Order: sequence, then C-alpha cells, then structure tokens
Amino acid sequence: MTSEGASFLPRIESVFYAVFDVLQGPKIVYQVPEGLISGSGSSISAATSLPGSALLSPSPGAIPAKADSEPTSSRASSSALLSSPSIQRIDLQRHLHSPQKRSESTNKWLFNFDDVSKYIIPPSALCGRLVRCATGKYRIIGFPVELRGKYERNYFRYNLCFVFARAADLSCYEPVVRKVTRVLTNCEEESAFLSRPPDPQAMYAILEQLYEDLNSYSETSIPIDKFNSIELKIFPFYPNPPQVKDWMVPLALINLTRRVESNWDLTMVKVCKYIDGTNHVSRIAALAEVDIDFAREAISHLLYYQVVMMIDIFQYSNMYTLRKNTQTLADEPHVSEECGPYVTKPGHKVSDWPVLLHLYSRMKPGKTIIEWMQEYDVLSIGVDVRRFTSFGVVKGFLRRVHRWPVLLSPPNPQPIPPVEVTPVMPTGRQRGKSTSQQSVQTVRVETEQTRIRGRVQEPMPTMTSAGAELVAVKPTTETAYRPVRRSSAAESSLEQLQNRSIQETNGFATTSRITRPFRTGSVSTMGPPTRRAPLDNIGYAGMPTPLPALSASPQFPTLRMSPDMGAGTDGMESEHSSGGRSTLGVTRPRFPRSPSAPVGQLQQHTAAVYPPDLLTMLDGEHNTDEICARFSVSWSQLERWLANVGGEQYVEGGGYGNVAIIYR
Amino acid sequence: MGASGSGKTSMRSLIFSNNPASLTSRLGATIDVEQNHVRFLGDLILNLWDCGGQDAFMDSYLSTQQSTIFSHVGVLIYVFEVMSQNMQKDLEYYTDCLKALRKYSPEASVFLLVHKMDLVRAPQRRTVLDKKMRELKQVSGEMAVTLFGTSIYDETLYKAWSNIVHTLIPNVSILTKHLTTLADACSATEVVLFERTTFLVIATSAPPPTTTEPPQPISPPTVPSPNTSEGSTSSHRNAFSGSSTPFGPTSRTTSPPPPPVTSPLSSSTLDFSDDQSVTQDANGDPTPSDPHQLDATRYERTSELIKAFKHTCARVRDEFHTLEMELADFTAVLDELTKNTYVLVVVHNPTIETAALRMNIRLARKKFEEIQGDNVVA
Repeated sequence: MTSEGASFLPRIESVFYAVFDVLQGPKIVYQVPEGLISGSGSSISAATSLPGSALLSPSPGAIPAKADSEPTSSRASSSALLSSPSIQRIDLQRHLHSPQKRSESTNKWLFNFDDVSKYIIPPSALCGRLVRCATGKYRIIGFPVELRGKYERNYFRYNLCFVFARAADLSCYEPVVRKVTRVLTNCEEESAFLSRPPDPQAMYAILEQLYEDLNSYSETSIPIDKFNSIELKIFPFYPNPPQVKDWMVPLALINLTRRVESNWDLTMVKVCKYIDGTNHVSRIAALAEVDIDFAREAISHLLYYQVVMMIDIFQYSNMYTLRKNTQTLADEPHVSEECGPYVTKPGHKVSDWPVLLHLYSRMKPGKTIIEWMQEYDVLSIGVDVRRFTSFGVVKGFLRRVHRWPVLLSPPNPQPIPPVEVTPVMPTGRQRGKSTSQQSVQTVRVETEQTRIRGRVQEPMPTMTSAGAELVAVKPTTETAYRPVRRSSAAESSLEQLQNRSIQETNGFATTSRITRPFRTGSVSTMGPPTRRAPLDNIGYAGMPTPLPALSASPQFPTLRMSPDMGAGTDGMESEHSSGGRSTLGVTRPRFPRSPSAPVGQLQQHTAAVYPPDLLTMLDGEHNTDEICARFSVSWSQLERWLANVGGEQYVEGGGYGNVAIIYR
Repeated sequence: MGASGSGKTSMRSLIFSNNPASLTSRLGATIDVEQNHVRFLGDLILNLWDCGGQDAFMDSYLSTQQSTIFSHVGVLIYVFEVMSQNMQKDLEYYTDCLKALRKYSPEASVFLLVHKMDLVRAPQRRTVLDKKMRELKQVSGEMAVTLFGTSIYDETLYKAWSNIVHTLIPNVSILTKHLTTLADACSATEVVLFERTTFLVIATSAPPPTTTEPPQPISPPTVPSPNTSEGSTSSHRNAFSGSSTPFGPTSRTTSPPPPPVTSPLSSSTLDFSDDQSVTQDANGDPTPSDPHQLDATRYERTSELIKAFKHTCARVRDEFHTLEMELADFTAVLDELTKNTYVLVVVHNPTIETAALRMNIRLARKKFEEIQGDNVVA
C-alpha cells in the first residue's frame, strides 16, 4: 500500500573526497573504505592491500546488531530529537532493512574515477549544486564546490561524494550532502582547512566517521575545529500524505497507543485513542473533543509516517470490487492464511480461503454490501463483514466503488405551493424548537423545504460547520427564490401535483427501506444479530466486533444508543425531531453518518426537497461520501434527495432519472 | 593543448574574448575541454577546443578520449612555457599528442607557441627562442611545424594567431586579389582585411611595387603627449604616440567622445617599443614618412592597438565603429566592410579625401559579401 519505496535509508557504499590539483587535475585524495575506486592516483596503492576486507568488516554482520541495540539508547540519550514517531520509524526501518544489505566485496572496484571525474570536479556551471551521477552499478551524489581566493590558480575546487547502489533513493541524503559541504566550505574559508590542512589525516578521519556513523546510526557528530562541527541526522524522506477528508477512516498499522509517549503532542494523544478502524475523522474529532482541523492535521501526520492508512466508512450501502492484483495476491500466503482468522467472528468456524475468495469475487460495482450479504447468506458463515472488506482493502486487492452522481440537466424549479403549507404546519411547529426554525416560520410564504431542512439540520450543530452554514444561508436563499416561484400559479400547481406523486412514491420507497436499517455500532448490547430476527424485519444491528486492541472507544456511544435501537427506529426518530440535545450529546455525531433511515413522518417531509447547494455538487467530481459529509446526512437521506433532484426512483444502471450515477 | 598553466586559456581570452592581458590573472584552471565556437568570416565557424593541461586530463585525452579529441582537427596549437620547469614531461605529452594527431587527423597543421616570452629579458629572447626551436623541431621529427615565440603582453600573439587563422581560411588568394583591386581603386598603399571580433588579419592586398628610396631615420619613442583636444565634440582628436608621428583616432561613435584614449594605447605602444631592438613606427601603420618601408609587424600592431582602443571605447560605454586618420604623411580609414570584417585602407597621397575612401569601401561591400557567401559554399 504505501510502497513509495522512499521509506528506507540506502546504505553508503563509499565516501570520498576529491580536489582539483593544479598539476594533476581532478583526483581523489581520500576514500573510505580504501581502494574501492580505481583510476585515481591515491587509491592505486591502497587497492592492492586486501580490498575486500576493508569493506566486509563493517557490513552485514555488524550493523543489524547495532541497529538492535541502538534504538533504546539513542532515544534515551538524545534529548534534541524532534519527534519520536520519526525516530521509531527510522529504527524500525533500519532494523527491517539491515538484513537485506548486500555485500559488494566481490567487486574489486566500484567504478573508475576518470570516467566520472568531470561530474565530481565539474566546470563552474555545476559547482554549488547538488550533482548526482550514475556509473555502472553505483550512483554518486556530491556537491562540487568552487572557491575563489588566493589560490595558485585562483580557485579551489573540491567535492565530498557519497556512493550508493544505483537503485537507491537518495532523497534523504541530499540535505546531508549539502550540509557536510557547507560546513567544510566554512572551515576552508575560515582557516584554509581543506587547502592547507593542519593535519593531513583529519579529512580521512572525517570520511571514516561519516561512513561508519551514517551507515550504523543514521546520525553523527564530528567536531572539526574549535568553531565548526558536522552534526548530521538522516531523516527518511516521505512523500507528503494525501489530503485527509472528514469522512475517511484511519486504520492503524501499528499499535499506536503503545507508542504514545509523554512528550507527544496532546492532540495527537487524544486522537490516537479513537483510531480504531471504524471511526471516521470527523467522528474522531468529536469523540476526542478536538477541533476538526487539528484532528485532520494529527491524522495526516500519522499518514505521513505511514503508521495509519485511510479506508472508507463501512456502510452496508457501500460497494466494493476486486482489483487486478487479486490474481497474484490470492496465492500469497500472507493473504490466504491471514484472511480466515481475521474476518471470522469469534465462536464461528473459520472458513476456507476458497470460500472467502468466492465471496470476495461476488462483490461488484452496483451491488451493495447488504445485497451481497443477502444473496450469499454471508451471516450464516460467521464472517464479520466490516473486517472482511477492510481486510481486502488493507491488503490491496479490494477497492471501494464510489458513487459519483452527475446532474444531467438543470432541474425544474422546486415546487413550493403555499397551500401545501397548512397541513404540515402543526408538525413543524411542534418540532421546530430552534430559533432559526421559528424565524423561518414567520415568513408568510413558508415552504416545506425550509422547515424540513431546518429540522434536518437541527441535530447537526455539534457536528460540523457544514450544517450550521446551511441553516444560516437558508433564509436568504428563500427570499431570493420567492419571486421566481410565484411567477406562474399554473405552473406551481402543476408541479405541486407532480411533487405530490413523487412524495408518494418516495414514501413507499423509503418505507420499504426501513426493512433494513443498519448501524455500525457494537454488537455487545445487542447479542448476535443472526439469532435476533430475520434481517428483513429487525434491521441489522452493527455486527463488527472491534479488535480487542483497538476497541476501547466504540462501546461508549453505543451503550447510550442501545435503548433507541432496541425500541426500533421510531424512538430514534422522535428523539431527533424533538431536538432534545442534552442526553444525546455524545450520540448525535453518529446520527448523520448512520445509514439507518430516518423514518416515518420525517422522511415524508424530506422526500420532496433537497438543499440547493446539492445541485452544485452533482458535477461528477464529488462522490456520495463527500456529499454526505458535506451535508451531514446519511446515504439513505442523500438517496432520497437525489431521487428528488432526478425526479425518478433509482433504476439499475440508469441512476435517478435526471441524475446519473457513475460507479468508480 | 599544452601543460597546465602554460597560458592556453589566457591566450584565448585575449584573442577571442577581447579581455585585456591584465585580466588573465583572474582566470581559473580549465576543467577538461572548453569549447568555443568563434564565428569567423560569415558562416565559417572556428571550433576552438581549449584543453585543460592537468595530467589527469592529458592522460584521458591520450587514452579514452583520444578519438574524440584528435579527430577532425584543423590545427593543433601546442603551447610551451618558455621557462617550463618540467620540459621533459611536456615533451613526452607533446610527442604522444603528435602521434595521436597523425593517426586521427593527418592533414592537420601544427603550430607550436613558445609562450610567456615576456619572462625572458629582451636581449636574450632571440637566443632562447632559437634554442627552443631547435629542441622542438628535433622532437617533432618529420612533422612540419610552425613555431612562434609569443607573449600576451605584446603583438607577437596576434602575429601567431593571424598565421594560424590564415591556414584555416579556404580561399585567401581570392580575397587578396579583390583587396588589391580595391587598393588600386583607392590609390592606396595597402589594404588590410581584419576579422571583426578578434581583429586578426585575414588577408592583405598584394604588396605595392618596391622602390629603392632609402628609409628615413626615425626618432626614438617619446613620452606620449597629452590630449591635444581641439575642442570639437563630435570629432575628437587625440595626439598619442610612442613615436614622433601623431596618431589621431577619430571615434565616429555616438556622443561623448572617448576621453581616456591616450593612456592605454600609448602605454602598450611603449611596451612594444622597448621590446623592439630596432625601433620602428610605433603605430603599426605603414610608416608615413617612408611609404615603401613597411614595418613587418604592422599588422599585429594594428590588431593590438585597435583592440586596446576598442577596450577603451567599451570602458566609456561606447561602441567602436570607424576610424579615420588624416595626418600629414598618410591617410588611413578603418571601416566596416562586411558584417564581420573590417578593412583598413592606407593612402599616402594627401589629396585623397577620407570620404572618397569610405565611398569606395561602401561600394566594395557588396562584392565582398558575395565572396564570403561563396566561401561558405566552398
């Protein structure tokens, strides 16, 4: 998944220091290990003295051992280290990759210096720049310097180069090379350290220490003179993480809570507690009681260090499909052997991989998880569907299929006949307790749309700014619409008729949907759902049992939710519509995200309308997850809105009339 | 080519980059090969390779890069330092280079420059140069080589380079023929064609018929006289000389006339005069007093003086265009002929007006453009 290949530190094969000699031209003055680079005057003699032994001694055997012992000591001793996640990362990586180090001792020479000397000591145009060149199996990185001064030929040119395997990614060494050169240049300018060295062996010692320390510890500190020293630490280079969206679910790849240290950022500590593979970002922010921006920031830091990955919110309305690499991954033992134990619920028999693979293969665009579950009776074999899908996503052979609604042509102006208002008024007043609701109702031409939107938004304010924004905007848009709407009485009555029929069909459609409301809560208070009742009637009460290691949080809200759930959806509905906030403080964030359909009267009212902003998002660039997060509604709510916009119920392959759905 | 520090790059900077000799000390060592494309005579482009002389570079020229370096060579210019400390090594590299050259470019002509002659005191120069020449000729074996003693501080460098360039220009004889025609038309003593940027001599008119008039005695060099400005703003005449002959350049540039013309020109003139055992007309122009006694070094001197003059012009942010001189003994016009050549017409007949000469030059322009065009085809 995060195979950018940039995350481990390549090994330094050689370090050398070259100068331009006014009589001899470019030459290597010192190199460590000695005798690895041919063709330069100094190395010829050294090359004869057992070239292999010099290289062998510091490599494979010694380094893993050091890497093992190093992490603790280095972390404990160095107080200047910025952030511990990075260190751990390095240690981890060092540890992981050190056994793979290759010994190049079979090669007598790495390369011939004369072949590359024009890039080591290049013409002025390249001096003062990072120069990389590859030769044979190796890649050389250096920073040639040209210093003007009182030298024999006016200039002093030198370059301190590092040699790596050709395939190595050198991005993390770039700052190192720059810094070494910067310090040496300072020394030269201050005391002619390079051109007239006080101790001819000083430079060799520096190279030696660079080679040993950077390869073994990834950091070093080399005092040069009274005022200058080379302080280096290699930070692995990670690419910038993708943007963190509110509806994404971070999944920890390591045990985050065990890694927490006292000097961590406080927000990070709070956020880490709620990363369990089921909570999405905005929910984590709510649970951790941190600002959503900070939560996003914290999670993107975790992403940067590649200790979490982002998956989708699990919903039974999600769709998945296999990737091409299933063919190869299906035979991988780490997939086929891990899958069964991971996805099977406790107390069930672990299914064979072929059975599971068959189930995976039946996931396809256009088929929701719930449909898939029903068709293949997934519950009966004891598979935890959430874990089942996330396993596929994490291993990389399954991917989410998003719905991308596209508005094909602008819809007709929404019908808001004044007559319609009266019968609905009482319910509206009954429910609308918020001030915004009241004020809207004083407008003479009250619309169904406003009230309902107001009410739908009502539970939101604790959630995100999106809902609040929508409410605030509403009155102005209403007044702006009014003249248009009133323009033709005939038209409005016609539309009113149309609208009513739509509402009826909607009502029908949504009631049929009540048959499967689902929650992604914990099963702990519910008992095994399979035993409770047929799926069609009761609703599928969130089956996944979170990993023991990750679970701490999810129970907490669901405990409070359980009475509602036990009582069925009506209880929930009344709770929301009454606007009773005090008891629901914690649970409210769950509401919009829950795919369980708001039922009964609520949906009757919401049926005909949708927020005007919705139209702007139906350009094919926003998927339904994003839209749901934007308006803080569930998918089933959005589905109804889309049906209203499109003017038709969902047709397989055809979308909602005027609104096409692209599965991607 | 040549050993490190022998002065290859300095030489190049002087001739092709119009830098004064004093600035060459600021140059750094040449890394590997520096290539210059010098546009010379229309579309004739000289590709000049300045090869760094450090051992590492020399070794690679002679081994891995041999075919690259020595193929398609027109002229090999090998520079020796006159006071070289390590002549033995120089000669070894030299013979190796000759071998490689014979292998890859047997047609190439070889020039040997014994450089930094200014380090030898003037009286001994002749003998030192002769000794070097014998030594080098011997090393070169049967290879035909041309040898010059040079220094960046006097005109010898121009002489050497004019000769070198001369061998590279395809049809000098045609140019000479036409220049002679032009000289006849102008009743000129001599017409000289210069390249624009380097001011190296490309061709000259055929020598005028010799007469037997004896040369007049020439006064020794004098201290340059100060500006004898005549107060005219557009035509600013400076008297400056290293000899008795006043030499007034008229800069036909845009406004302000270059005031400090005198010093650089005259100082270089003085250097020169000191060097010469036989004091000649320091102007490098045909000796005005004895039209038939032309100084052998006049071309190089002119090159050097005009370059110095151009430098002075550049210092006052002016561009050099034309030079006209009307003196008691001779008249000289230096004007643009084609877009990359200058022509110098020297006339001894005092009745001929400069305007007439310039008219002739303008009329000749078209013909010479054609010849240059032909050059390209040829």
